[in-house]
Amino acid sequence: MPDTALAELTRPILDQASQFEDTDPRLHLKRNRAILGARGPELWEMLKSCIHTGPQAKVTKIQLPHESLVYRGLHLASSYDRACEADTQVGFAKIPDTTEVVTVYGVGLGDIPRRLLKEPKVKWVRCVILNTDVFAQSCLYFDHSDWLSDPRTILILGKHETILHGPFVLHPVLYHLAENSAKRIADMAFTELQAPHVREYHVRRGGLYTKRIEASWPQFKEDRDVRELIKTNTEGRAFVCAAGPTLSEWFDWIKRERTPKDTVIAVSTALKPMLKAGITPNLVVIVDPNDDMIGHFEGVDLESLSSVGLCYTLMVRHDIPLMWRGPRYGFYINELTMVEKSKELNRGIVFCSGTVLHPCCDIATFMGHPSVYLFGADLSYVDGLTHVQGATYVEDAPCVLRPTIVNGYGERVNTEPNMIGYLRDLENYILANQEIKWIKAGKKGAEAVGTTWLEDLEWPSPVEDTGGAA
Amino acid sequence: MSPLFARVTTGYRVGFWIDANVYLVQIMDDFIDFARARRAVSRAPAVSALLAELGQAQVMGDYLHMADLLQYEIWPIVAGEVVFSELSSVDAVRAHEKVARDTASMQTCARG
Repeated sequence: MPDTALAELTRPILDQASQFEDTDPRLHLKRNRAILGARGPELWEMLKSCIHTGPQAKVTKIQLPHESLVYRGLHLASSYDRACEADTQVGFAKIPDTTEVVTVYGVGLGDIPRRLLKEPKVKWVRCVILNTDVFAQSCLYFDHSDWLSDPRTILILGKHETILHGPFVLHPVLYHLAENSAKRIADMAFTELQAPHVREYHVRRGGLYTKRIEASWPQFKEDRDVRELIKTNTEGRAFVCAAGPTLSEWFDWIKRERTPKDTVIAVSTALKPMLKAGITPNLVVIVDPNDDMIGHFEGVDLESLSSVGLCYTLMVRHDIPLMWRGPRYGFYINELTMVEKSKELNRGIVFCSGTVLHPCCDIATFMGHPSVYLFGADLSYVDGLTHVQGATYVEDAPCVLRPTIVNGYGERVNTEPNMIGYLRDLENYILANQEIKWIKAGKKGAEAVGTTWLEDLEWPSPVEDTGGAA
Repeated sequence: MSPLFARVTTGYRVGFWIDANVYLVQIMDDFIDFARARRAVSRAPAVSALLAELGQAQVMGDYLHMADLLQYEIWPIVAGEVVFSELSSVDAVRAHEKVARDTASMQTCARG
């Protein structure tokens, strides 16, 4: 590309950057472009289109105390000591001595790959671009030629990275800025980093779990095994009802479509709103050990639910199964104390990675249902609410900046880090059980890989008129 | 840095901002107590501006910058590396309260 064309291409951004006279962004772009054009033509094509849209990007290059870039209000690197920060990030990854390949999720200003390439043991640095626009702006304002030209560097677009490659370093800011196509891999890296904190949390709660298990044990031993439900319904559909805000939008649909062959499985939080809407589930599932779970049943006429099954795990407070009038099915989840208990008493182990939604799906699966419909599995604060209206603890969601998920309309919706983990684990479960048809309702909630939107099945988009003769 | 500062700055720097937010309130309380104990205003504008910037960064979710401010601006004051004569600023207290409010809001965690 001739320099005049390049100047034309970058003029809007150069206008923005004109206040910084000591650095000519064109120089950086030229250097970076020369390498990128040769090493990653597809990436360069994408970057070019980002640079065209530069004036819309909210980018500020700051010079003090040190050079950094602020993208949509977020510092992409420390403005005090970038090298020290890169050391911190790399140190946090705890890269084993024997490691030859390290993956960097989110490049930022290039400090982390630059730092990794100084490690003699590292033979390859896989750099996953989580946001092409950020990378384009970074290439405009900063010289990346040193690490980009290093033959040990591999550039990958986030949308092409389908599984997590460890050991890895996740750029904490690029995690927030990951574009939709790279959101899943960014979430997977983030969830992996959160795992030690989650484990620490559960260790802190170990006393509560032990107390619950001791109290529930006599009853649990007497109750039925959840495995009695295996292959009990191989024809009907399973309607799994979680307690997300969109659940209520589907009450009419469920009432209309439900047949005696179908199984309606409700998380305990959703029980009250469903009963109020005139929907009695076939099974209610509960796993949470918290005291306030009793609130899910307060005011409910339990006598009227004598044909409804309760699936519960050992750490649920013991008075909940005791007051249940219908059949009770006990199960373990993959928790340390329960794994020990399973040696004493053989009961089914049900998949649960933090949310009651997981056991519901697993129960629906081993019951034999050929299709599972997910309602209210929003895993996000749809319409600014935490739960479906009518649930015991429905609250307005916190309004400060939070992590997000992508919904069925491609929009970002606020959520919590734990719910992101639940979503990604649910997706992995679904992908491992693709012999089942997974249908998800409520496009305002989280999109889940491996599912089909019920809205698209019910109300497919009209076929475009091609203008051809009939 | 003290273990508390280290925990918070690391939390913000590596993306565990929820954990960091939990302990930020304690840091800010300690910092305000520290400032009040020195009772004058010579550095008040600078400190209140710092607190305001910290609060703004939190609202934006600019956690890396929060870590920077805590590590490179606030900690040196607390550690005595920067001469801090005195402080008594309503603005500083307000900024602190705002940070505390935002943090409390962020701790409101949904149940799965």
